[in-house]
Amino acid sequence: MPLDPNIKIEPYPDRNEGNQSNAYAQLIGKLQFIVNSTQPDIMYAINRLTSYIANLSMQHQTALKRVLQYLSGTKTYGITYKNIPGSHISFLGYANAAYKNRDNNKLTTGYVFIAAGGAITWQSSRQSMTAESSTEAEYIALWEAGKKASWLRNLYNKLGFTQKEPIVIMQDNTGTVAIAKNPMFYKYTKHIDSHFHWIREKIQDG
Amino acid sequence: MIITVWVDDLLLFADSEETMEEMKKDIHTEWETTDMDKPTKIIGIEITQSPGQISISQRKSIENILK
Repeated sequence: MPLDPNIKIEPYPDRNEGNQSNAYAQLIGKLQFIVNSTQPDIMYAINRLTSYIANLSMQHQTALKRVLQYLSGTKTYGITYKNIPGSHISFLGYANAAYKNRDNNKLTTGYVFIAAGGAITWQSSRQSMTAESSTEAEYIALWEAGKKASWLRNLYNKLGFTQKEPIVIMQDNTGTVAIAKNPMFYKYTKHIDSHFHWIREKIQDG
Repeated sequence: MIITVWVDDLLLFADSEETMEEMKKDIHTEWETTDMDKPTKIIGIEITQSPGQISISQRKSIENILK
C-alpha cells in the first residue's frame, strides 16, 4: 500500500518551524502529474502529502519515501482500455468518502469513472466543507461525482456518443442512497444544504 | 474525427485510414508538421496499442523521479 493506513498523517506539531522544502514540493508536483495521467492508485496518498508542503515534518518525508517504494514496484503498471462491445459509448462511476485519518474534520471524496474497461477520470480531494456524519460525507462525495458525471455526459454527447440511458454511479453507503432517492424529511440531515440535493433531481430525471 | 492539442503536440483520431490521411494532409498544408505515425508517447505518457486495446503507462517518467 502506498500509505500506511495505521499512521495518522497530521500537520507538523511545532507549527512555528517553517521548514520549506523545495525538493519535496517539486517531487510532489511530478507525482501529481503521474497520478493524473496513469497512476490513480497513489492519488489519495499524494493528495494527503500535498497538504503539508508548506510545513514539513519527518513523518511526511517518510510517508513520501513509502509512496516512492510502492511506485518502484508498480512502475510498469498502467491502464488498458479494451474494445468490449458497447463499453466505449458510456461510462460508470464509483463514489466514496474516506472519514478515517481526517484532518480538521474535513473528509476526503474519492470517485472514479470507468469506460472501455479502464479508468478514464478520477479524483481524490479534501471536501470543502465539514460533514457531521459519514452518511453526509458520502452524500457530498456522491454530489461531487455527480457533477463530474454531468460534465462527462456533455463531453460524450459532444463526441457523438449521445447518452440515452441514466448514468450509473455506485455508492455503497445505505444511508446516502436512501437520502438521495427519497425526498422525505430527515431529522438528522435537515442541515444538509439544499444545493446538494441537486443529485436528487438528477436521480429523478434519470 | 477528433484532434487533441497539447501546446504543439497533436493527436489525431479518425474512423478510417482515408479520413486520417486527409486530416494529416489538411493540417500539413496549413502548418509545418512532422508526422510521428502511430503514437507511442505523448506528454510523458507511453502508449501501447494492440488489436482491440490501448494501454497507457509512465514507466520512464517514474524511473526519472526515482533516480
